Amino acid sequence: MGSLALETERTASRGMQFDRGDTQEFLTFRLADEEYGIPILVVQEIIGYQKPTAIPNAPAWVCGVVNIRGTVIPVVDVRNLFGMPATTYDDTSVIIVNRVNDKVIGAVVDGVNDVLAFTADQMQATPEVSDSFEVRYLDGLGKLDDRLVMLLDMAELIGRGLDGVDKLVSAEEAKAKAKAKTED
Amino acid sequence: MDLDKELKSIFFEEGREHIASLEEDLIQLETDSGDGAELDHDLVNRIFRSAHTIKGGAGSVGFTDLAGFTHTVENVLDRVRENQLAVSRELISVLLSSVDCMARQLDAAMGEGDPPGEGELSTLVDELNSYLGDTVAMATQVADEAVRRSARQRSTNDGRERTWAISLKFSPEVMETGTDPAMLLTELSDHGTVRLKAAHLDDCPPLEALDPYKLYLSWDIELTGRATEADLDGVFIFIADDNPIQYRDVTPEPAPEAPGKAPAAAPKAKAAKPTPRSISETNTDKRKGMTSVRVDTDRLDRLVNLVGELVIGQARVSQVTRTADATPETAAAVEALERITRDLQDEAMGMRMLPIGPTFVQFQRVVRDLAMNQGKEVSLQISGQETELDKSIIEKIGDPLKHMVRNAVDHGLETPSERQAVGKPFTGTVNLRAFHAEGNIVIEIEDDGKGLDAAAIAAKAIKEGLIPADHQMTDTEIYQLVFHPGLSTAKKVTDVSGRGVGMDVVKRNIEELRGRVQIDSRKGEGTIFRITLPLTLAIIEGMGLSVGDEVFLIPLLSIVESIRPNEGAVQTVAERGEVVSVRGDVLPVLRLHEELNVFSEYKMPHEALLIVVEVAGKRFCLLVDDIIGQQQVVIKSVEQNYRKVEGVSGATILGDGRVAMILDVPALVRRAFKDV
Repeated sequence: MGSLALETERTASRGMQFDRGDTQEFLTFRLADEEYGIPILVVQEIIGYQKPTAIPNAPAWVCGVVNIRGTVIPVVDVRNLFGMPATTYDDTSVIIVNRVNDKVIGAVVDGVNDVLAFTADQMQATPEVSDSFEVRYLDGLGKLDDRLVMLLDMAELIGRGLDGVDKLVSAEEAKAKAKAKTED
Repeated sequence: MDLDKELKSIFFEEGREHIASLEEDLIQLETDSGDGAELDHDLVNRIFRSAHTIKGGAGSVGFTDLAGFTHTVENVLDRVRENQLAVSRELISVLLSSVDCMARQLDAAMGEGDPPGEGELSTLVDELNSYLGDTVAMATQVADEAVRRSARQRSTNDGRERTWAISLKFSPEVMETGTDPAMLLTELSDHGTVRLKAAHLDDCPPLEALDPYKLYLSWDIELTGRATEADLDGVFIFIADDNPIQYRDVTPEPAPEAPGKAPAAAPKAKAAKPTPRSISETNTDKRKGMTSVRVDTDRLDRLVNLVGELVIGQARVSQVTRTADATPETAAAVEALERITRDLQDEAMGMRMLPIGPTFVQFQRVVRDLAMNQGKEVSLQISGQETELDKSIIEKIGDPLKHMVRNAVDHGLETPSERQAVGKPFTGTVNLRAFHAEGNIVIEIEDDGKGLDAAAIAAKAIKEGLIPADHQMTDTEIYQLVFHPGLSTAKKVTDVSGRGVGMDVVKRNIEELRGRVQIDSRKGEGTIFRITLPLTLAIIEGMGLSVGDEVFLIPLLSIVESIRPNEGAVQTVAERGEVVSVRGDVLPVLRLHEELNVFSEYKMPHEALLIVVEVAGKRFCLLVDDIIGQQQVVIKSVEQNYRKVEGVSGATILGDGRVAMILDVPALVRRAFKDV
């Protein structure tokens, strides 16, 4: 357990290294019609959805906390973070429990798909398509046949995100702010 | 080397304990040594032993400065023991300063803080030496030098090769204390060449009776090198008391005189204890040694956490069996399990409990020094030393308590002449009490000094703009103002207190421990500071409240009452939010769902409930939907995996496995009403 956590941390902190010849494994999950991937070593476990308890005055993309065998962990709403339309989570939704920088944090997603291995040539850096909010959480793209998987930088997404939670605004909040500005 | 580090940290912990007991015993010695009182030899011996143990331990782990200095202290103590030196206040002062010095040397050796300066040290040594007779002083200096030299160049010493015959015989239980004979051998080999003469297997039982955790072997070894008797003492210091280890000098040539010690005429048998002890004596010693085990606090915390889990799991099982069609057998079994779980929880919690006594006793010194400094006569009366508190609370309450005790002496008590002028006894008294009350621990600091001057405090507060000039505060409310940052009524600033910092920190520290502090005072008669603390930080007696879909818990300790207001009782005051009148008092109202950003259907206040809470002596109302009930819950950290949430002190897991937030009422109120 200890060594696994250590390995996880290292993987998470250095991000991905595309110049290495070895393959990397990713747990992929669904958000609406899109497929995302999380480095498998970051994932501690996957649990069924349970309604989180709200945290007072938390940002909209932190849905609350849940109990995992006696430990209280926060749960992040990835849809909200990426500015995707909200959905009702139910028994088919899952919470992916990640361990990043010594913190255990859950991410609620529509469902998990697969564990995919990508070789270095199957992965490419994020194209500079836009400076939209979610790009900074992307570590690259993985291509396997027809599938395009957006690979997430979990340390950025969750670890650092929670530390600087005050400074960080979700896309939704940013939009609301922008809207308020134009109305002024 | 890990082993070395481990030894050092053991010595560090023990050294700390010995220094604390030295301090305590020295003050006791001073108190006892009134005019012509008989010298308490047990006490003096205890003091001497503590110093001696520190010296020996320090030498063995290579803290040479500490060993050398302690040796000088020991010489003075020796004269006291031999009735050659009378106990005086001055002597105790010098000895106490020396103990301080030792404490700092110890800390410095462990890399915490700076060691005492050379000048300071030599002044103290001079002062100590002045208590030694001329000849003795000379001898001490010599001995002192010798000890320093031997400590500094441990293995070279006087440069002579010696051969020691060592009988390494251990008590069979030696492994249980973590002693490893191999480790001792390694340590011995630092001092010279180790040769095994004989290994004794005689005590080995037949294989089927062999207990693998016991040591049945003993060895005869020979050590050739420049080790002195003191070096060997050092190697065996931690185990000498419980194990019949013997060593003697068998150097072929006439043995040289051990410096500063009685001539070590060879072969002088040096047993760890002078003579082989009788069996019964060894047994009692052994039993005593086995009654306690040092356990890492992290492991204790994990145990307590696991037991917390068990309690929650147990609650769920109970709930399920109650609702399902359980057979009487199942119900009885669950009930039995419930009882055991409760007992186990009590036991686990109890393991974290420590008596408050040592914390109290260290204030004797604080009071003594401060009283001497200010020319006051003060007697500190301690009671309830055996009262037990959670270890983490004890660690955090020490500093606030110290500050309050100093305040009691500094501000509370008058000078002897002032006291006599008003017909009080010459000596002022500070009472320090700890006791249980209503499931909490109460600590009281009471002085029989001049009491708080409510009018003066109020005047100052008005001047500082803290309260309006036409305030209608009771004396109790005014007293609470002394905890306000920047308010100090001391006429002159001393180095102890009176700078207006401190009391607000004291209060905050106590509130962080989920405690409260109240003040009772009578002008001219004295003041009582009363601190109420929870028994433990791991469990809280909470009240479950529902707000919208969510359940929140607030500590029972902060609740005064709950009321359902009449229609129209809650009124809006311009710019200042809502207030409600409770039996003539106008209290501010805080709508919890707004404050916490929790969705809740709008309810008229008279359809909801108001929870009256007390924070910093003022009362506030929290508007909630309903009360769920009182329950004891295990506190879980939210910060661990998330971050600190303002207004929340932690979370807990309810019987159904869901998480509920525990509210930090003072922080909530502070945030909502900035002027508190």
